[in-house]
Amino acid sequence: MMDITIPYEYGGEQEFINACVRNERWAQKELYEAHYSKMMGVCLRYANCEADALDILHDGFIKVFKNIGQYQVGTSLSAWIRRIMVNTAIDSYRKTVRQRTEDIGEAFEVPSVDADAVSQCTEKEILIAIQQLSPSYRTVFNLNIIEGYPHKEVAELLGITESTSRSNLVKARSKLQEILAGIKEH
Amino acid sequence: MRQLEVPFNGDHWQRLESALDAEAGSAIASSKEAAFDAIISGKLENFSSDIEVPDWNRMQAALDQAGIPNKVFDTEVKSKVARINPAYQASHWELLAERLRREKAVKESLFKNKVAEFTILILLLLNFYQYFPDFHPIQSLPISPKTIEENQELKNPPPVYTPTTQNVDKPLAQVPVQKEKENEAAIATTIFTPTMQVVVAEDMPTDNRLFIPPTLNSIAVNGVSSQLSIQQLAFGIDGKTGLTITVPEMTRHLDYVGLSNSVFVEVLPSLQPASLATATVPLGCKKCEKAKIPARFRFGMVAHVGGTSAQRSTSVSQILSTSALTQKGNGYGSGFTLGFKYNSLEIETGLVYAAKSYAPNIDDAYERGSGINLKQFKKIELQTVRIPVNLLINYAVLGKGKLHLYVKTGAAMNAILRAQYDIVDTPQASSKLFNNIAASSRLAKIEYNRGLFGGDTFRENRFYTANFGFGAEYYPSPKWSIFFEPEYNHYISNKTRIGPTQDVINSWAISFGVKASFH
Repeated sequence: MMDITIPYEYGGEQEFINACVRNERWAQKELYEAHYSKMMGVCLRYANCEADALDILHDGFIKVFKNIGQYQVGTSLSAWIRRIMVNTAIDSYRKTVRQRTEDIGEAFEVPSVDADAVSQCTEKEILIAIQQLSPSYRTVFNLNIIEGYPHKEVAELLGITESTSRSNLVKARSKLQEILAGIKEH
Repeated sequence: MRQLEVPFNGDHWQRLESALDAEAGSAIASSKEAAFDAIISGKLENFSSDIEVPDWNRMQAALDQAGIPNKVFDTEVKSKVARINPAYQASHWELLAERLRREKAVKESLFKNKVAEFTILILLLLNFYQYFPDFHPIQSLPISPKTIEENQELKNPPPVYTPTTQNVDKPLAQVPVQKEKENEAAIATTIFTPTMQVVVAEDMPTDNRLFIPPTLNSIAVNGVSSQLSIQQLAFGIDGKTGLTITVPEMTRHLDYVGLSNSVFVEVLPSLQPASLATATVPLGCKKCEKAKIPARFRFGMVAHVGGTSAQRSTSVSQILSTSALTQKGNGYGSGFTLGFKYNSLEIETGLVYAAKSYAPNIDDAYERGSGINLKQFKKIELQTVRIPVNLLINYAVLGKGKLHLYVKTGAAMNAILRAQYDIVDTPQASSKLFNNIAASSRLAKIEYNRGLFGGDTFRENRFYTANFGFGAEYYPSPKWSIFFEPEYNHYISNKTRIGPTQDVINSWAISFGVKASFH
């Protein structure tokens, strides 16, 4: 038997959210389609590859559908979903990566990055470079630089020390530049 | 080698002399150095510099300058990453939808399995107590000496008295009756014969009384391999010859004999003639009470198949510009029942699951863009649970009350667990086939329910039915029965309607199952 939903003309965000709370598939699909691009972009930054990013995306949307009743209408739905997606990515990172601590002393040996080099790279190249980072570097870089979390909060989220977070960031930058340089050469 | 001699070398002595002088001199030098150090440290302790400390702001600016490339790098990466927007892929939604469906199916399967487990567990427990009615997990306390002192019967149990029998032939069972008090001549013996129960008594009282033995548990009959358990042993005086005793296990259908007849006897074809029953437990004499047929609880498992009749409401028909129709469908289901039976009346409830489906067959043509779409409402599938409350009136037919006919009436509360709608929306090449084309889909204007599993509230998915039925019930044993019952459930008007077409569902079914009785 086919289970095809009826497009339902709803009145306002509240009605749409109510439809999602009722697990109406058409509403869930619309929510998914509306936020797919941005959230997939977020997940691609946290994953090694598109397949892993898709898993994180779907795990995140399942959490969204389950908890959509907690969303307060009038606030930013996109930001709310993004927060859930980032938390899902962090959970995925915790499950798959063994924690490593970096010697902060090594950080002082890392040279400063070349800002001009990255300006010549495309978005896709930067994404590929980010995906090639190790999970710990990648996650710290995403959380601190892209999402804007302070190191203290990053450390709490990932269960590491603040100094480890800082050193991972420095290493991530350096490694990123190295990868970008390699991409440009080829 | 003994004769070997090396001439003296003056250089060698000078080297040795220098080494000796150096060793002596280092000791002198270290002491000189220590004095020098002391002077220097003493002077430096009091040293105060008037050199200006470098400005911290300049230091910080230098540090910041060193970090600028990092900030530029971060900003550049962040701005470029923010522009990453992968194109939507419809296949990804299909994957997520499939995953959601699987999770929902697992939850529903778990719910059904747990209900089935619970039902089986209850049935097992009830059956256990059926076959072991005397099982008491907690043993009764022994009688205290004080109780024995107060209770003369316990202290001085009356002797068992077995009178002689007269004028009976081929006795099947013989149960001695105890003489309890001197002024009561409840002395008799009961003999079961293949044709009738005859009691020969001596000095029997003339008023009707029932003698209920409190402790008689079983009767052993020669020629029968197992003990016959006794559920109730009632003594009734027929007013003429004395006591009659019936043993329900032997009569098999004590419940179905009317109370108006004080003689509860039946022929015992199963016993061999000339068998002799023995009982060693004293029988007491109690004040007459009308024998009460024991009420019993009954637990049943039921399955049903049947059909549905869905009537479209008038208001929806007006919206859809269609006529009010009645659509036929089919269904099936199963469940369990709990009943309390007293004589010929029984009150029954339970929980019954039902799956129904029918085809609304509504076509809704509407404009979409520059063309016409046809939205066909093909099928509705409902999964419901029903909690009935019914009154059954039983009539025993045939011999020994093995077959009963009954009529049933009652009401039920129904809840929709899940409602699925098969709706197909297809663009049409031509509009010539449709006379009535709406500017927009009319089906979208109508609210409909999805069921409790679909996220709806209970109030939105609750409706009531009136139940009518009749059936036949056959008892292979007093504890078990099988039944067959056609029934009809009529929708009782309330606000809950089904689907976009706002239907009311009337259904009929053929039910069959088994029931177990226990006291």
